[in-house]
Amino acid sequence: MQRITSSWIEPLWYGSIFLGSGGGGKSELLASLLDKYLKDKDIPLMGIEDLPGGDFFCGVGFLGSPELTEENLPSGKEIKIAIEELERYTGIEFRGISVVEGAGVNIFYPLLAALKTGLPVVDGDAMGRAFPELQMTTYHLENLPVTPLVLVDGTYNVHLFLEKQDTFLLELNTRQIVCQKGGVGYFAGFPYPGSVLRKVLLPKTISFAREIGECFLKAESYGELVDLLLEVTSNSFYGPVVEIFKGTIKNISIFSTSKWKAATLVSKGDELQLLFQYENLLAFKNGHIAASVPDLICAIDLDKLKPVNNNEFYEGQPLTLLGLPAPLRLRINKALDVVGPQCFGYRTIYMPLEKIYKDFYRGVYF
Amino acid sequence: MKIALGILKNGRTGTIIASSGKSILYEGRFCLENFSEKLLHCVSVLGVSKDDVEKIYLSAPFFSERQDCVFPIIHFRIAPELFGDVPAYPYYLLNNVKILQSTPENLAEKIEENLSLIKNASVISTISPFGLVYPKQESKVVSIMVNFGKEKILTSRDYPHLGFYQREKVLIIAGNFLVSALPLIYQIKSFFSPLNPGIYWVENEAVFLEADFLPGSCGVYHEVAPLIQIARGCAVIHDCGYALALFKMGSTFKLFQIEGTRVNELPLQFNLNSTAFIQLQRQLYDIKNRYSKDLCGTIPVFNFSRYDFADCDPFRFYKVDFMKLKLLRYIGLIFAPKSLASGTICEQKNLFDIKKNLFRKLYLVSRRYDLLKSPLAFSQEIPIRYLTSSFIILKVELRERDGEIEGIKRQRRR
Repeated sequence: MQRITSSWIEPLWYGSIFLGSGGGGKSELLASLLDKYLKDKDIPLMGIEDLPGGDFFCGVGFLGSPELTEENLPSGKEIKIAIEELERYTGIEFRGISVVEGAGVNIFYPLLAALKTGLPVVDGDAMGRAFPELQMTTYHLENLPVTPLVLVDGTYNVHLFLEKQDTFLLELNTRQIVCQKGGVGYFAGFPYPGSVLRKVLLPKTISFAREIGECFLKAESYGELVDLLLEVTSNSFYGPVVEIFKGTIKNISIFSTSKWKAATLVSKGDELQLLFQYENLLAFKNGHIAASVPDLICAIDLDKLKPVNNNEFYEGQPLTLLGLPAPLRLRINKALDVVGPQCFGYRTIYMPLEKIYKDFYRGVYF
Repeated sequence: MKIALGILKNGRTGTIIASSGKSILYEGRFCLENFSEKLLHCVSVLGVSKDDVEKIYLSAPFFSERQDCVFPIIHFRIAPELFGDVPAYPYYLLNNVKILQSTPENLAEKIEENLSLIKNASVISTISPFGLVYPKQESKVVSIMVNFGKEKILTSRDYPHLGFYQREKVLIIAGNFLVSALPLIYQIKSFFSPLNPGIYWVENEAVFLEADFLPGSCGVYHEVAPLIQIARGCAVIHDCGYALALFKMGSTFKLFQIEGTRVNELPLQFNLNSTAFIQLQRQLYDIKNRYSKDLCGTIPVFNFSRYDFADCDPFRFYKVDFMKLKLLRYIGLIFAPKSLASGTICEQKNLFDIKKNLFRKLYLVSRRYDLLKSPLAFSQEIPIRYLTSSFIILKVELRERDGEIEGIKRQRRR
């Protein structure tokens, strides 16, 4: 069993931003807090294959606006309340914590929960990247409900969703509470035994995030970074990373509501339109599709050689967009029904990166 | 001869300086009671009239010592019982402040317990988590305090900084400004009346103080203000178009970039496990990569840390005599580029109109007081998502055009 120590935090930080695919948020305060706690402690990280079949684990995470976490920095007390409440209702004593969204803030929050409860964390997640809604998980693909779920809002009120509930409806209900109570919420739910998690979770995503982050710490040039990323991603269940575009942001436009945004990148007569909401969702190069959700579209700031979220974009910023193929389980028709481009309101179908960059992938694989 | 005055105040005493260009012509100590006399002394020693005083700069940090057990600032922190631990703020900020932490339910009780303190306070500030977008708790405090006859009440909405601790610190700084700096501003105004020299608040840039303190313009650089001013002063004295200044604060390095008279901090990358030296090395490496394309020649680095660094292309490290720090700070204060700033929080749908109005207001102020000749307009929008409406924190700013910087850059590119 591996152990998460303070030396993990920095690579996890960059890995979490990369896998956030433009969204997922980040909180330096939370990462610093964890770093402080982990100086004299560590967190056991259980591989999926090691999960005891009969032991129950609960999924924890953060809902809402990562920016607003700094309004009321999570201390871990709130998730302890949520887990205890869930244990009281289900009568189950949880033996570990599972990660629901293995990207952005939601990589770090379960670690805080693990520290506060003294439980181990499972090395795997149910999204493989950042997604904004509760139904966009592998649990949903296996027809497993999220409930019973306990939600603690930003003002520390506890909300119980104990009866079996449609995940779409649950997403609406939790979102409504989060929006009304300070824009943040912390949940404990997905109470499943190890035997189920072994089938449901995408394995090793936490250690994968760390490996990705290590690339950013080691690389001294862009070429070196791409080589390192290629090596790490080729040896994962995601697939080799591909360069979609390298250029400068010409402009950023916001459509009717702040949810719909687009950035235009230019380079030597070529133009790329990146459409994003919370995460980067679609890219069109010279009018042709260049990448689409659920494949990951990750932005790298070329000045700093570090991954950036889309809320950090600014005009004139030199960027590279890298595409990382989504895990196969997110590409099946049932998954595309909840995570495909049309689920975010775009009238286009999913086009796998391997199909768009045939020549590149032929070169990598053969 | 046109002169500029600089006023620095720490604790009970302060310093007045007068300068013309890069020459410091006068330096005198004052206390609150003899401030007007010292102003008169300054003007008469220099043999100038009040008419010749063009600008007055007040420099952060600016605070006064509490003389008795009366707290001039009462700060209400309305937070739930489970609210996380609040970090310790610097002692000098809390010297005049009594923080009353209460849950929304126990507010009335808390007020009753501290009634005498509240009655004696001159400034009330209040904060609650999410107070930017949900001002209900803060409004409750405001309405009670209005009933007590309090006039100076500061809330989250006046200082829209995202992040509870950052906003709370800024609110406390603003409270200190009202207690310590405002009485001096009144004295300055009455001394120069009917003339109206521009009065500026300097943390990084010189922010023009209109009739009231422009919200959102204090607090951000409060702690590093002296370092910024020293860095700027050093670049001005040595006529550097582009330079870096290196300081060490505690265990971390602080690196500032100076372009003309504009200074900005280059944050060392988020790097938890690396030592401060490695972080600094990485930052310098980034600068080298970024600027080698545009700039030729060496980049001077004014080294105020107590460490020796070897020169390495393109950086040349200069050790600065610590005896000169005071002079450099004075020059840096007087040469602060002028700016007019304002900020607010608004809904996405009203953003365009509010932004237009704020800019119009700033242009009017600029024109009325003849501040900025052909200003550059800047705005920053920080969206806050996952709320009932889409809120945006909006900051708008007019800055002095620094033609000199461009000229120097072009020269170096050649």
